[in-house]
Amino acid sequence: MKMNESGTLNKVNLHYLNHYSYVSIKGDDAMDLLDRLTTNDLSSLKPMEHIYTILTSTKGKMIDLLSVLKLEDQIILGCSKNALKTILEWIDFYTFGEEIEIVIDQKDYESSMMVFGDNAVKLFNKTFDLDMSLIEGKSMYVAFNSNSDGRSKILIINKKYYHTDHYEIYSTTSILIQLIQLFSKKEDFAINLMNDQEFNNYRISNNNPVYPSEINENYNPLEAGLKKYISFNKGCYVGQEVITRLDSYAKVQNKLVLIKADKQIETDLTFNDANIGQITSHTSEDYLNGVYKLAYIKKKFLNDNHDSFEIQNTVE
Amino acid sequence: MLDKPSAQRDKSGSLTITITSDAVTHIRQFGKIDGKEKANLRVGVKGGGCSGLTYVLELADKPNENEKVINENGLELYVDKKSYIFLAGTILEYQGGLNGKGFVFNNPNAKTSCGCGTSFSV
Repeated sequence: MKMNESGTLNKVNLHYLNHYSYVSIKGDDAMDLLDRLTTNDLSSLKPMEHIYTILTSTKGKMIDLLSVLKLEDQIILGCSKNALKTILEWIDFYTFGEEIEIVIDQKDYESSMMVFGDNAVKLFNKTFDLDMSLIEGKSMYVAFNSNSDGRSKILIINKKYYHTDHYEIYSTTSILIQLIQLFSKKEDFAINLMNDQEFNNYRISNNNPVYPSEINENYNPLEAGLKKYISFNKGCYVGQEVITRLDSYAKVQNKLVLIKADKQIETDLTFNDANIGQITSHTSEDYLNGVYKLAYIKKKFLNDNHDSFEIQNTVE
Repeated sequence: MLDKPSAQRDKSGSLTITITSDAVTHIRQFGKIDGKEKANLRVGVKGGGCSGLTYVLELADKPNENEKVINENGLELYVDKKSYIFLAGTILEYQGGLNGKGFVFNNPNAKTSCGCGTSFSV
């Protein structure tokens, strides 16, 4: 087994995104419609480029964070599996004469796997002999020799989610399983296949919100720290007036923060007997005793000294 | 003081879309500028705008398939069926003068409108 210069294996994290759905959207008006319904500017997206955008209600609250990948002939829309029905109903409600076709059970990109960590690029280089700088902020088709199907095609996408720069691979479930096996055989890499609980710990410690615990219709994107997925220069979209007003007049009420709090504090955060916030997620007990949690806290209480919890920037 | 126009009903008693004669005059003027003196008007709704639904207004020669045709003050209005659900009872006016806004949709189905008045929610 080969090791890197420091004598350790190159660790790479893999996580199979089984809580997400990917639908294909085709038609001349598809991108324009999505642009009119969501926060980010999709109008200048070129084929093979990816962007995150937020579907918001007329009150500027979050319905879900959407992953939009533009391909030559279609858009692959990624969203939370449990939000899919609501999202499709939402798109249908706002579709009038537009040319748009949604394929829910498309097979080519039915599954997705996240690849991240400092050595992810090295792993791709080693496995596919790829110059990864070519796909910075973009995506690329790659073929590899799989066990049963001969050459199998995958789509690698460079995504920038909040603080985490990572790669996602779209393909069929069976091809992804074969790819995990292929990665696992790479001698100088330690492949860490994260289960849902481990990934949840990871994303909480990086202050990454997900549907439905943090991304839901009780909060707006500014409260969730998702401002980077809002364009303040594009034209109108559903919820735009409310979101812009909240930002311009500094009227955002809550902020999503990482806190360290005793295990027994599970939901409400109080200060001088007043409710000042709500815990939305917590790490598992086997991860630093489960004391790290994400919470929406009223901004006016963020700078007070709290007895029951500490606000953290990162996990210590 | 001028009487405000009120929503009209068609022969079956259903609410329809009304366009004031003043608005028709302006449509004709815009048609003339565009070289379409006999043009009629397509009205509709599309998703988007701050409040969710945005009004659509364009000159049109003939109706598309499945569009409802409303004859009003010598002008034909073409409306697709889904838009009609959100526009039934609407009075389309033209507001000129110093505070004028151009064409204005007085839509009884609109519960809220955005600041600029171009979009609404139901």
